[in-house]
Amino acid sequence: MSHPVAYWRFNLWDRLTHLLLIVSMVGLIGSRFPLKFSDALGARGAIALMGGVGGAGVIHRVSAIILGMACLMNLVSVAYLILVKRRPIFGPDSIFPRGKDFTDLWQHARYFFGRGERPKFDRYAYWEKFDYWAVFWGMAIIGGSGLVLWFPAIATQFLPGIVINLAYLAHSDEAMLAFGFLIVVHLFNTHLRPERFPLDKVIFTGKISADEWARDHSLEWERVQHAPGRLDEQRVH
Amino acid sequence: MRPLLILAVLMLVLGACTGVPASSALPAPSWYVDSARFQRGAHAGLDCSDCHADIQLDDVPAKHPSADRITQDARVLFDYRACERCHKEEYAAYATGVHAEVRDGARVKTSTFDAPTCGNCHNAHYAPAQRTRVELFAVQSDVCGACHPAERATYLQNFHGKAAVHLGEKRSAGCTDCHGGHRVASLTQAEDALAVCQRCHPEASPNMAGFLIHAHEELPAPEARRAFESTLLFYAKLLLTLFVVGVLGFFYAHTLLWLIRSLHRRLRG
Repeated sequence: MSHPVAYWRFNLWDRLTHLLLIVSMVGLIGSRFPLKFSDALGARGAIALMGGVGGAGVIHRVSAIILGMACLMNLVSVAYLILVKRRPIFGPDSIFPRGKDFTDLWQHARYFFGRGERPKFDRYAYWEKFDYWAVFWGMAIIGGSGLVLWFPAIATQFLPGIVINLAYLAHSDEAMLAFGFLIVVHLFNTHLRPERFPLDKVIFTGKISADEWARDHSLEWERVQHAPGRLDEQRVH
Repeated sequence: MRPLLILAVLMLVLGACTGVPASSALPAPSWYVDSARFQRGAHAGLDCSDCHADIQLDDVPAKHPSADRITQDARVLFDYRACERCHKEEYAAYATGVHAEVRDGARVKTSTFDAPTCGNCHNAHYAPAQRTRVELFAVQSDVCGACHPAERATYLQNFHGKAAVHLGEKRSAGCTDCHGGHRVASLTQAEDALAVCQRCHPEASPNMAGFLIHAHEELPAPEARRAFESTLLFYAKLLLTLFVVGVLGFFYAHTLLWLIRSLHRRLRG
């Protein structure tokens, strides 16, 4: 292939979902960091910018609804893939974890230490799968505890008051985990590592070049070479 | 980058404008009275002898101060019954609160202070009148916290304390909003706590009042109140911390090793 050919990796729906994730994360973290670290320099100013503690709360809850919408949008996307496109749930293209992900992790770790080649990845590498599932697991814990904190009177109609304390703990610690993960691991793995620096545009444009595809998702690339219909379908015109 | 910088500067400027009021915790007890400061306080205009009736201004050297008194804490020596003459309601309310119970020996003293009376909380010489709620939040956090440091710390870790003291949100609650200023209550009984919660949260149920505002995330003494719930919180915190540190530790190591390998490969060419 002499001329640069691009292929669709992510459709508009999934890119929009990712954009909503970014917007919601900025809103969620931005409106609650000044509260968690309320005695830090600038916390008062940040809260004042958002219209006070109440205004920051509104931003937090609107962002939470956006995050919930993004997750629902993804469920629609998954349902489309499974029901309409008839993609196998546990196939090689799937985001579901499988045994190979663990051997890939082991192989990749060996590669870090200079003991072996970089493993060949399929459509989703193991860290991409982790990024994906971490959102759902975070949604369960942070979303669940967030609802308790949002509606404490309703939650304590059938649960003891200590559940509010537990919700605070879980919400805050899981949020710090999410923030600490996104800002370092996710940003590095997808954008900041030397091969990708400074930004991997695939999730925003949806397009991947043949070179990148063959390098980063070689197993999928090799597979589609034997499925010409699929390759044509995904080619960017 | 530029909008971020502007935002940061804006935050700092706004933060400075809406800054936390200066702490006005009680000063170390002293026999010296700064007259100029006194005249700016709530009691400005009163004569010394209005409160210190045992002082005869015309005859100071005769009665005051005597050598055995001057070495003692003025707050212990002063007879705060003098306050009652002007502050009848507050004085009566105080007499039915927990602080008075400590004074009267009905409760075990839990601090090194003598049982708190008026002067332990109120700075009669200098305290300004008409403080705003937000100013009072900070004052109470310091004054109450002087004897109740653990409660102060847990309050400031709670939403109420952060919003009230750190962020100056006047709709939040300070110490006396729940515990009362003069008729001080511990709120150890569930129904007392519920009545207090319902002042701001009318929808609160008895269960909701079981929320621990002063939640200690450490192992309680077995006989401590609500020891089971505190134990639960301790282990929940421990598990969550181990989980967060474990996941982040694993992936940070993964990221660091990957970075080193990538750079190594780049530099080797």
